[in-house]
Amino acid sequence: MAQTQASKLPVAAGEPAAPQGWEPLIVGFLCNWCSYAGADSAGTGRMVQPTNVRIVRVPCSGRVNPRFILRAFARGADGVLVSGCHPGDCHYATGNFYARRRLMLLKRYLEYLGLDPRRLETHWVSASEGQKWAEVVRSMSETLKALGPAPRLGEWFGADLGLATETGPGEPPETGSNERPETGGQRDA
Amino acid sequence: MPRTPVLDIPRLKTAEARLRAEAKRLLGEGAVSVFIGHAEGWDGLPAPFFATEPEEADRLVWNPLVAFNLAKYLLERLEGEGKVGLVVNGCGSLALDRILKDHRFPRERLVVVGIPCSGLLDPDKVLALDDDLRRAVLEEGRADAALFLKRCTWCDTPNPVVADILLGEPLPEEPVPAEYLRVAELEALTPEERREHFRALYERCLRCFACRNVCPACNCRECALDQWDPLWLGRATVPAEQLTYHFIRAFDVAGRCIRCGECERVCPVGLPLMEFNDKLMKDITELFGVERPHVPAEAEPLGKFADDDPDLEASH
Repeated sequence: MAQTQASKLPVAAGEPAAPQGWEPLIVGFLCNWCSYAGADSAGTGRMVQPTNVRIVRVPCSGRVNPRFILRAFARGADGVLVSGCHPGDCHYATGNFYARRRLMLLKRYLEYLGLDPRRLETHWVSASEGQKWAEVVRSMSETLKALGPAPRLGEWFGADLGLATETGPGEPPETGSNERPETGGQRDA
Repeated sequence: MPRTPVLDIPRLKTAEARLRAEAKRLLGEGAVSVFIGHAEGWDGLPAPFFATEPEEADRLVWNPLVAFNLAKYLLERLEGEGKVGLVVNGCGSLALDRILKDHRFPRERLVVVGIPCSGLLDPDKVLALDDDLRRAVLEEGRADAALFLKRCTWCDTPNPVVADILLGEPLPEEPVPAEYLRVAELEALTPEERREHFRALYERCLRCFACRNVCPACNCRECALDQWDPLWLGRATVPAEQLTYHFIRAFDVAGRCIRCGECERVCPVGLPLMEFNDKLMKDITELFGVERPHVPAEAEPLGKFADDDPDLEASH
């Protein structure tokens, strides 16, 4: 069911096809007051949801620096999900309004740089919307499954430099060598 | 429709004489302890000049090649005593206004001498001409449009927006509708073509930071690119880091860029850096309806919001 729905999405040309059994890695930046509690209520409500999201709790969606998102993509995320309170419901009154402008601009900027804009999503999930959270995670996982692994920043920019060394569920197949890349681009976070 | 800049040599000469007189007066009266302007450098081109004695004011120049935005040098004068004199033209005043709006220099420590400007030449292009041609350009003002600074073709602020003393009559101001032709060209490409375009360009980046250092909007007390913890930017000049660098540089000045194009002009490998800044400015206009995102007086678009901003959630 989910497969047929997902396969309708066009896969961007030039990006690697997903290997068998591959699962996308999503980094989620969740605001402490709404979305984190919303995700929690999805859990306590025992809702079935994909396990692709790794959650980073932030005080407010306005805390999310665009560099965090670039960094996530550089270090192996296939998608980034930013989630906060509904506009107008921010714990700090206006934080998510600023975030909304910034992320809108960022999304179009990433697209301009050649990254599929569907890899960055923003959703407003309140503390009581566990159902919505589960739905957001499900739909984003499906979108990303159809898109396949994200190009690592190095590849995205032309060369594979082995910069993304942290492992995730979507780690590309082993090359059989444990040597450091000659470019010396490896370093820890 | 781009604007046609004009090279008005007599006007520049008059302004130069008045500038020297004014700077001499300010320094002589002790109204300023240093006057920041341009003087002839070792290569014959104007270089930034810091006059501290009245007689040094005679070395100041104001000619078709005074391309630097001097406002950034104010940041080096934060510690000093006394007032600082500064000469600005239209775009120079935008740079100054950027620094003032960012609260990086106290306005009360400034004496701004403004000169209306009808157009300036690109020093590199003029230097490349042969001697006769260069003389014809610089002395008789016979310059064709290609010799002008890029920013002059989209300039809509010929008169200083910040000035205590204005030398010369203000020039007529007319709106210049912003055109981002290059950005529109790039947007028409496929993502793969754009990726390849940026890759081919930015692997040439030397990471000399000239674009950051010259930028009046890049005025943070501590630059993210210099930080070790967190290490936003790895030190290896590999393509992935190059993209990180240019991503951060352009996005951090989003909504604050004054579109002076100095980053592009000072780039030693000639990277078209404004392709990034222009994209962000174009989007700011399209998304948030900010007509002139390059004018600091119109509060920075990312520092405010509207209830009816485009709905981000619906855009997926």
